[in-house]
Amino acid sequence: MLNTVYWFKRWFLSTNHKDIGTMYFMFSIWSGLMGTGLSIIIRMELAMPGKMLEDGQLYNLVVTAHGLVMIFFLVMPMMIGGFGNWLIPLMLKIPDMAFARMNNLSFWLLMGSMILLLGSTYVDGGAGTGWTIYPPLSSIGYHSGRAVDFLIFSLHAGGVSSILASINFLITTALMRTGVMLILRSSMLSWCLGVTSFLLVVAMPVLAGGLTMLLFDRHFNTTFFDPVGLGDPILFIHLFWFFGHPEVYILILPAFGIISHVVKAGSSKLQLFGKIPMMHAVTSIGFLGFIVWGHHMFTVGMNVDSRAYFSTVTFIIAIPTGVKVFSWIATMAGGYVKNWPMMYWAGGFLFLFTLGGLTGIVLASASLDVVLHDTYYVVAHFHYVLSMGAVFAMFAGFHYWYPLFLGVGMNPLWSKSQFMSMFLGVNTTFFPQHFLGMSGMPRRVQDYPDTMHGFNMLSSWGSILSLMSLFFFLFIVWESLLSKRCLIFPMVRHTESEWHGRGFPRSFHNEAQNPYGMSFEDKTSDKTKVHWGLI
Amino acid sequence: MFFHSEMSDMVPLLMGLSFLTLLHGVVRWWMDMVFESTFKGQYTSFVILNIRWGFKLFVLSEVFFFFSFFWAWFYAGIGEISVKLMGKWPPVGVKAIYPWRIPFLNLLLLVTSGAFSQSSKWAVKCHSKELDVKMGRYYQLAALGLLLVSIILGTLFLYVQSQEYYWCSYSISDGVFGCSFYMLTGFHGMHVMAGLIFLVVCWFRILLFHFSYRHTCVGLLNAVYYWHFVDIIWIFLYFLVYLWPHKLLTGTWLWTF
Repeated sequence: MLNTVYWFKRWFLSTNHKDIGTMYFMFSIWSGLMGTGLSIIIRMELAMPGKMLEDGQLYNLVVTAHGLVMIFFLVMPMMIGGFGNWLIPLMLKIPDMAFARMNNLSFWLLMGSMILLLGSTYVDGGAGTGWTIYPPLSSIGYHSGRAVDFLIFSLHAGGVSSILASINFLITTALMRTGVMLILRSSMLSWCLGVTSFLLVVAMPVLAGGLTMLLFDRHFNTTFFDPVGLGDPILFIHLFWFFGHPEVYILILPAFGIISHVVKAGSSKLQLFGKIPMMHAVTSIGFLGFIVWGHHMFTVGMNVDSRAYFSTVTFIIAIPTGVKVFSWIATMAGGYVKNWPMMYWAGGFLFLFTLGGLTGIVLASASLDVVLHDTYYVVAHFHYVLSMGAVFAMFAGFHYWYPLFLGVGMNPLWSKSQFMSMFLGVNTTFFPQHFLGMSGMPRRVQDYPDTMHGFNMLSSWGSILSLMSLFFFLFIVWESLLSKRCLIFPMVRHTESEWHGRGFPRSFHNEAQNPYGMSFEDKTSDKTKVHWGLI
Repeated sequence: MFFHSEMSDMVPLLMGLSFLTLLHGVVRWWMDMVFESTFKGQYTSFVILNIRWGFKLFVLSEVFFFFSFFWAWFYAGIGEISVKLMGKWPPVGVKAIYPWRIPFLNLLLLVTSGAFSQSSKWAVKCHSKELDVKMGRYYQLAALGLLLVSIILGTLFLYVQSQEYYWCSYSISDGVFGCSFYMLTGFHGMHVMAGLIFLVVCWFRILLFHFSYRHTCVGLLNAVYYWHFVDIIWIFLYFLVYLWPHKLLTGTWLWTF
């Protein structure tokens, strides 16, 4: 009886950043499998010309659910909730997050959000609107059932969860550093998550406002997006992408943080190359992300000067991103690059994310985008930066910190071969999509002209290979838990503070005092007297 | 559509149940916070700093929530839609509310209320620093009085606003003007309600000596901060939603692109 009570309190009423992080990992891995299943249905439909699914609405629903699940229930929870919760208190050497109980609330709200999303797929034909839920397709006239309402509430709940978690992260990283942990000494992951959290706090409410307007249009006779009442669907597009663009940076900035750590540790270096310029680059990417939303809207009929502006600012974002990629390469230069699985994933990230960024530059040009908007070129671009950017970074971080979280190790040889097959799989899936987009295949279609069969078939075979790689990964994780090869020597430098205590952190909260030092040597306000040492 | 389906009889029950569950969760959450702070004394200055800044970040997220509705307002008023409206804002046929009666009264009510809540903050701070019991009591009574005035003015605001809603010539269904107007002012009213509840809870806590000697008054500080936020949103609303359509500021219809 007491055991049950203890179990309930530990897993439902947790205030422990490690347990909550573990729950986020399990939740996000489960969701990732669900999202992968949805993507396989899409690729099965598109493998051959003609229709496989009788119902077009079902296909649209699968496409919508795939996007929403992967973004809101795989990438964000794993990066921010999983890695963030586990590592921030360990890296900053603090006992726990600032609002430990609210941390738990964020997780359980996300569970509610997932239930609402699953609910939306079950009722009234589901929401076949695309993850962007544009009206009038998502309005009451064309989706008259309850599914879109479930979807709206799911995103509202998820939004609240994200905003609360972000407030938690911002306060923790900004205010809970004690003693010698100056702000510029925070780890790259803390910094990236801090900027990510700021983006979430500012951008998420705008989505909430747009969704509320959509809800009211559907049920309360308002006409925000209905021309009958002098509304405009383009208003929703503006509001959605004002949120949507920071959202995609929210997806990738934590990945940048993870890769910084993996590359630094995997190159046996004491310091990241140019850490402070990298921190500034992250801040500028975050800031610039707010003023480029129009590049998702080049074909709605915006005036040419606005399109010119959005194009230009989007190009500018490439500069700080380039600073980061070059810094990572420079970190690897002259170091002993370890033959660990995490470095394979990190190397894959560097190459493939850069490729994805380059196709992004192509799309940033307003004139080129008129041809490529809503084609598979866009799908290829964002899958390169997400499926191969964010997801590779998640794999890299997972392989790097798995022994820290669980105390056991995954078989490195199998992990490297799993990387190879996954690499082949995702590239086979998404590279042909560039050609499909260039030749005019639109997005979100259930069928296509017979001439596009070849590349579609190739892409579908690639998705099967990715699926098999994913199964292999699950096997590797399962085997590691079964075989219990326990961690003995972490084999990372002393600069990686999360590994202190020989890679075995305390079970619940961490030490109350910062073991590096609670105060500066010199208590005067003259910062130059502080021994900067290794920042 | 949901309200016309076969489950429509259960809707009020389900909504009531879920609202009660939410209410219970919310009340117990903040009760826990009161117990931890006032009764167990677990709120060090460090924790208080975190809570104050965390609340400010929350208010920042609320600011951006209103930002999206202001966006809709301006998109219709001077943005793309204004072309279809022929540059007329409010649209032809909609009579804008005369801004110098009820809306101005509401402005005065809220600003005064804000001033009173700010001074109650001062009184509570003195109350919590005061070692002498009698002086502490005087400060407590002062705080109670000032905060009560603030709450009464806020409640008056809600009443006056409800009257304006009742007598207004246009509704939320009256095109994009009506829906933007009511969305903005309606959500503002909801935030006023929430802020008032927060202030009322703080009033009772002052009464029960929760903020007396050496106890933290972070609850009141956050409540007053929220109240100022609500006040500032109303100021923006007054100028941009009431005064502007009545063309008093510019004397003419604002230019369109």
